Order: sequence, then structure tokens, then C-alpha cells
Amino acid sequence: MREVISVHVGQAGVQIGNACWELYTLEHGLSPDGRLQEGVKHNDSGFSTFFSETGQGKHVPRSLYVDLEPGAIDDVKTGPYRSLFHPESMISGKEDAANNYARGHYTVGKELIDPVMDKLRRLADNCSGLQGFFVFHSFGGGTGSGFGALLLERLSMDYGKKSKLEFCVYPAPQLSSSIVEPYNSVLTTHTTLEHSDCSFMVDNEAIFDICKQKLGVSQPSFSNLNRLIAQVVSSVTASLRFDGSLNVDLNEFQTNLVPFPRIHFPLATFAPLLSADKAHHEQNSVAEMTFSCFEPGSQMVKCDPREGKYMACCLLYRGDVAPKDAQSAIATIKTKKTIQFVDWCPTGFKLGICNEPSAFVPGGDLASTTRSLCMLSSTTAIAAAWSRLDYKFDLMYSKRAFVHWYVGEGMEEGEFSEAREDLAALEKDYEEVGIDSADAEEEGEY
Amino acid sequence: MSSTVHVFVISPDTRSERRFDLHLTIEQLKNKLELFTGIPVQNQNILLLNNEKDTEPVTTLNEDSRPIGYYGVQDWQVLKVIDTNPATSLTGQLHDTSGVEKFELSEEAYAQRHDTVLAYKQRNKIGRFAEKDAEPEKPVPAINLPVGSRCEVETSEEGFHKRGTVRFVGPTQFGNGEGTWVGIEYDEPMGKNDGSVQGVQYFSCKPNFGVFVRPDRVQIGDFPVEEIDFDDEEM
Repeated sequence: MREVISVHVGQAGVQIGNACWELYTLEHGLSPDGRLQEGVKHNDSGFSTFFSETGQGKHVPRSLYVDLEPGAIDDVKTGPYRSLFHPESMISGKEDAANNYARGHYTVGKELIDPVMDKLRRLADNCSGLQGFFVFHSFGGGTGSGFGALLLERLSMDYGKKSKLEFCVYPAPQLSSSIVEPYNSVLTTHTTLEHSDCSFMVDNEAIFDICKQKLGVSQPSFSNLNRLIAQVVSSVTASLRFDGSLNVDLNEFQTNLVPFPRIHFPLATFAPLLSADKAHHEQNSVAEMTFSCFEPGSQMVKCDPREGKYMACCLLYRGDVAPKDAQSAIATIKTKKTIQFVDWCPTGFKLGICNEPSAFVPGGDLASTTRSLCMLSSTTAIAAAWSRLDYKFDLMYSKRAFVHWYVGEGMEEGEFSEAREDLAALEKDYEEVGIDSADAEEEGEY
Repeated sequence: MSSTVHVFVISPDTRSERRFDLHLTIEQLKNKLELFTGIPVQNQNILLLNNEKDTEPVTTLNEDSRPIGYYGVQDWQVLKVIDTNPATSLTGQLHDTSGVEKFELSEEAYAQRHDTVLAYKQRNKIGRFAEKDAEPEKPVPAINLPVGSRCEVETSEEGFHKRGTVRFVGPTQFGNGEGTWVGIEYDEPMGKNDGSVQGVQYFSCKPNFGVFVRPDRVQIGDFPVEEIDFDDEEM
């Protein structure tokens, strides 16, 4: 079997976890305490990659919740899914990371890392063919950035050959949730760059705008945002959780999406983004869904793919989707001039179809639909997200703003410039992947 | 029943959703707020609002020793943090990047790093570093494009032919200086030059009738000059 262990770090990681596991249980016909619900068809066995089954027929998530402070995990322990999770799979400390990477990574984090690695070892021992880890965390928070990075370093040490994927919440470009987000983000990205195989980023502002503009939520809270993020996560993991002939394994997508080890930040887009009251008036054809995945308003990170070049486009269809409809939609997309590929990318598009549609979440903002599409694309345009963040870092660091908070936790100031240089190299990396293409164009004719 | 409260915190530079223990004193709250709003404790004035857009606060959380609970803060209310003395803090100064220069890595510094895409490409001889290595493996395919042959150049536009006559085959000084280029005189002025590139004349023709392409895009054969039949067009 090909088990996957999900690790949810920090408040954002834990809360996204809640939304994901809520959706997974709905999709696999499990009750909130992990039992198969009667009267629900169970035609799949694939979900044992994400759940382990106890002797009493209870299905327990292969997950670990970690937070340096107890709040978010306490909510789970008293919430509707309290009996779904193994109590020992929720580890919280007493002292928070105070929005500080240095606390999450060094002072406070080091107290918690060993029990966390022990617990992960036990989860891993319970797998017959562990495939890898999904780590959920934010870039901006102290635990998410600091402890998340520490965890990935340790995973890389202990499980070097297993795949390590991340879902990260990238800071919103316009409205920061904390003043030191640029520092935390640059520091965590630098530390994890060599340890992560693929990172799916979502930016809260992009999600916020989707909730407001497309789903009609007037003042979106984390729970609105996270349910939307969970739909993307669910689409990405669907191929691992369901069997099916047209299902394409995530590994295969990953091969396409990550052309070079450091270029591992695909852009996710989702369709349809429809509120329940609008859904009745929409046809939501395969073609429509496919086209809307190329609209900036459906993206999980704010950037403009029309400004960059694609290295790969993976289309993960779910539900009632005929292969020929998907192929003809892609053929139409290929003729569009705004969608440019680097010339060294031979195939360009790859598609997979998972027959199981995404589940409707009662009380959620998204309408119930028979089909959906999540597109993962590797585009040079996402470099703009790094550039934006780096520039903000420079502004703050030029004033040495709040640097003493980090130095006060024992971090050396040199780590700031080291991290920032690495990110500058990452920006150059994105230029470099586009260069071959530019050369070839020039070489074409004289 | 619950001892925590979920609120939105807004400040001049930030907006976030937070959860706080109702037993936390205002002094402790201010210490936490400093860490993500960047406003020093002594500068903070915290207003409680029902909605972000409200101008009149419900109340002000101004007594440091009181717990948050004392003020009856409810879930999804808004704590608006004001900086009473921005002259002594960084409030408002961390948005506009126009005053600073963005740090960029120089080409040399980038080339010296070992973990980059550039280094990866060089190490694995791929992308633009592949050509030199690939050539010895496969002998250069024989190019059978005699000067003077009629030819057609491959184009991405359907139903549109670029026809002409081969005028030059061989190495050139432009480009990367490698491999063979084919110089063609088109039948129509859809080329790029008059047979010369960067000051070197390889053949001569009327301006914009000449072009140089790689041999794989050239097909020779019986390609007569296409007559443009103006009579077809409606006048």
C-alpha cells in the first residue's frame, strides 16, 4: 500500500487540517467518528492510504496535529470531530511562538521536535509502504514558519527517500496578518527549499477575494477560507485516495510539475467557484471549467500567468467528466496566444480524471456540483510572488525593523542575509528556466 | 461557556483573525498585539468595534489590569489597534518599497552558487548546456540542400507558405557560431534582411527578401512561385 501521513503545523496548519479531514470523511462516507456510514456506497478501498482501520471498524486519520500553543488543538478536542483523531496524534505545547520564526525553529520548537518525531515514527511503522508526507503550514506564523521548517529538516534526515510535499499559506500581498510575515516567509522558504519536493502555495488574499467576489461571503473568516483550500487539497490528493482507471498518480504529476529541484512551487486554480444560489443557473460544462481555470480570478496565488511561461499544466478533473470533452477543451486552450509554454517542455498538458466527485460540505460556501477541476501549473509567473515578498523583506531589513526579536531568541543576524540571498537566487532560477526559451526564439531566424 | 474569543484585529499595517483567552489582561493582550501589529505597547489604543467599517467604537480597552472578558468582547467583533504616537514607531513605514533598492544577486554571485537551476543544468548538461555534448553522439545529419533549389520554410500558420530559393548553406558568424544555417531568398518580402547579417554578406537579394533559418525547417522540392491572383478578390 502507499500510505501518506499528513502533518498539520501551527494554527493555520491545524485549521486547514480540520477542513480537509471533514471533507475526506464526507467523501469516503465516514461519520465524524470515523465509522462507515450505513446506506452509503463504498466502492473504493483506496482511502486506506489516508486512514488506518482499527479492529473495531473505526477509521483513524494518518495525521499528526502539532502546535506550540494549545488553542487551535483544544478546539479540535472539543469540536465535532473530536473522536475521529487519535488523542496522541495531537501534540501541543504551552508557550507560543509569538509570530517569530526563531522561536518556532529554535528556542520553543526544539522542546517539542523530539516527541513529534517519535510520534511520526510510530505512524510510519504502522504503514506497509509509506509513500511520503504532506506538511501543512503557514509561511507567516511563528510555529508554521519556524517549526514547519524544523520538521521538514528532520523529515529529510530521517526519511530521506520518502516524498515530502507541502501545502503552505503564503502571506497576502496587500494586507499582512502580521508585520513580520516577510521575515518569517523568507526564513522558512530558505530552510525548507532543499528539503521539500513540491510546495503548493495558497495566498490568503486570493482565497479571501474568491470567497467575497465569487462565493458572496461578505466577511470571510478562516473557516470560509479553509473550506475552499480543503477543496484544492482534496483534488490534489484524490488520486491517492480513490482507485480508478483514468486516475493519474500524484507522483506522475509531480514529475511534470517539478522540472528542477528548486522550481517546485506549482500554481493551483480551481473551478467551478460557484455559490449555491448561482449554481442552478450555470451549466458548468467541462469546457467552461477548463477555461475558467486559466482566469486569474480562479487562482490560489495572485500572479499573472500571461506574463510568464508555463512549464507544465496538470488538470485534475473529478466527477462526471468524459475524456473526449476534456481533450477537446485542452485542444482549444492550446490555440490561445496568452498561454505560452517554454520550448523545452515537450508535453505541456497532462490530465487525470477521478470519477468520484468532490463532496458537498453542509454549511459550506461552494455549491454542490457533479464535476470539478483543479489545475496545477508550473509557471514562471509565480516568481512574482517571491519578488514581492523579497522586496518587502528588503524594506524592513533596511531599517533593521524588529530584527532584535529574532536575535533575542538566539538567531544570528547572518541568517537573514543568507536566507535573502537564497531567495534572490530562487528569483534568478525562475529567470533561468525561461532563458532557454528566449534563446531559442532569437535563434530561430536571422 | 467557552473561555476563548475569536476576533478580527485591524491595525494600520495589518488585518488578521485571532483567538484570545478571555482571562488575558489588557496588558498581556497589548504585549501579544505588539508582535503582530508592530505597534509598541505604550503606543497602543485598542478600540472594540462591531464591524470593521464602524466609526464609533463600542468601547475602549483601556485598563491594563482588566481581563478581556471584562469588556464583554464577543466572537467576530473587531479590535482596532491605533498607534497614538507613530513618530516613535515604524507604523506606516513598512509598505512603500519605492524608497529602497531591491536586493538582486549579481550574475557572478549566482553563477558561484552550487544549488541553483543554473548549476543543475550545467552539472547534468541539459537545456542550453546540452548542445555541445549532444553533437558528437549523433553525427551531423547530411544536409542536402543544394544552393539554387526551390524550397519551402516550415511555418506555424496553416495554409500559408513561405517559398523561396536556397542561396546559402554553411556556417555563419551570427548566432552562437555553431552549426549550419540556410540562407533563403523568399519569393515575397517576408524575410528579415538582404542576405547580410550583422555586417557580413552571405548572399545578396532585395531587402526583406532574405532570411536565415536552421536546416531542419527547410524542405526542398517542386515548389513553384505562387501566383497571387488578385482577380479572385472582390473589387
